[in-house]
Amino acid sequence: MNAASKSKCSILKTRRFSKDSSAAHCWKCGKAARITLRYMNADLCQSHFVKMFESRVKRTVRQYGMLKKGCKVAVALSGGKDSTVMLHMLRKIGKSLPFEMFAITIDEGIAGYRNATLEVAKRECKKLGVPLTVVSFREEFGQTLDLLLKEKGQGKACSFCGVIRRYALNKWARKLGADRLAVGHNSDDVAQTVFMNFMRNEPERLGRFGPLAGAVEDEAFVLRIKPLFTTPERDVAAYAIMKGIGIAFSECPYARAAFRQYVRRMLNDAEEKYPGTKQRVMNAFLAQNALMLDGAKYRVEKRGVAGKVGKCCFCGEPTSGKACNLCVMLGERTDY
Amino acid sequence: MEVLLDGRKRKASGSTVRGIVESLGLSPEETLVKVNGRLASDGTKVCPKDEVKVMRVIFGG
Repeated sequence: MNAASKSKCSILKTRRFSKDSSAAHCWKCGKAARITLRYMNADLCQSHFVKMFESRVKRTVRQYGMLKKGCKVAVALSGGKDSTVMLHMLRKIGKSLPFEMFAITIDEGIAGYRNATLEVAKRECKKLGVPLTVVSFREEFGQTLDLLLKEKGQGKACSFCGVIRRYALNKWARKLGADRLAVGHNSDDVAQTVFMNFMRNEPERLGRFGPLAGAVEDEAFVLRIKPLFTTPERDVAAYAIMKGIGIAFSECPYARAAFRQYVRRMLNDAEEKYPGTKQRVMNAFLAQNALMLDGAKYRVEKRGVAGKVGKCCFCGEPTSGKACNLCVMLGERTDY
Repeated sequence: MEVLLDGRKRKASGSTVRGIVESLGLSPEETLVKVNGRLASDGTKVCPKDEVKVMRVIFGG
């Protein structure tokens, strides 16, 4: 064995597990490490990290059959790191699997926050040649989220925003002819959602949450795909920085008090003590997904809610009840 | 040593990237660190003359 081989062996033996703080080399090639992935107990250089990141996203897309040749994908693009990186990845995947892609951005009108991410969305779509439709809360529903929350109270900001965004994204994706709606949920989101639904004793909600979202199949609901489903959130940020994708790292002003923030902190504390926790929660969820889907159908039937998709008696949009969540929420309607 | 956090200078201690993040009371799960303009792993050694930028990258919204 020559000196170069001996040196490489020595690097491979010591770099994989970086307990020694002086070890800051890529465990695959020995070059300077640019990121520590604690959930994998490994340091990686930029090149190997980027390769791993892209392979994982492509594998997730392939494994769950998220795309097929000629499909039409609406990308839910907020301009935040997850959706913007997802846009770039879908563009990359599209080079070997041609499909049509366009982006939809929902402008809730949140002062001091949405404008910056909207600029990122517009810039990146222009850079990648992706048509962009901006849907304004004000134009769609007559008021911004800020005004709505002044009226309703800020306590349920994330719930209101979530319902309205899902409604608008589904409606516009369908209107624009999409057969898939790509959303940027990452594996941290998955772990948080699993915990939140258990902590609230709402496990049946998880039946509608998976790499291909939507347990209820109906042409009125555009199939939601989640290419970043198995990707940790921090990895998404690192990829964006390494690839020079200019992201506005900012926080929604309504998110601070949200229950999800509490669960995020709780999970990140656990992750620091027990690296890999969030990935294990995500994997456990995927393993149980089929069982949860069956459970969701059981609970829906037991509670007497119609299991089939109908049309909202007020707006005509798809709903599993008599009225959709949006109409009930915006109008506090009970007369149905 | 002085580092940049959210665009502002802050005092931090520690001889490695991880040490600096922890000295600032931040979660390594929610931060990435650049040393002299490039992302750096936890175990990267830093010295006072290095330009260290700590970025919080995980937010709600």
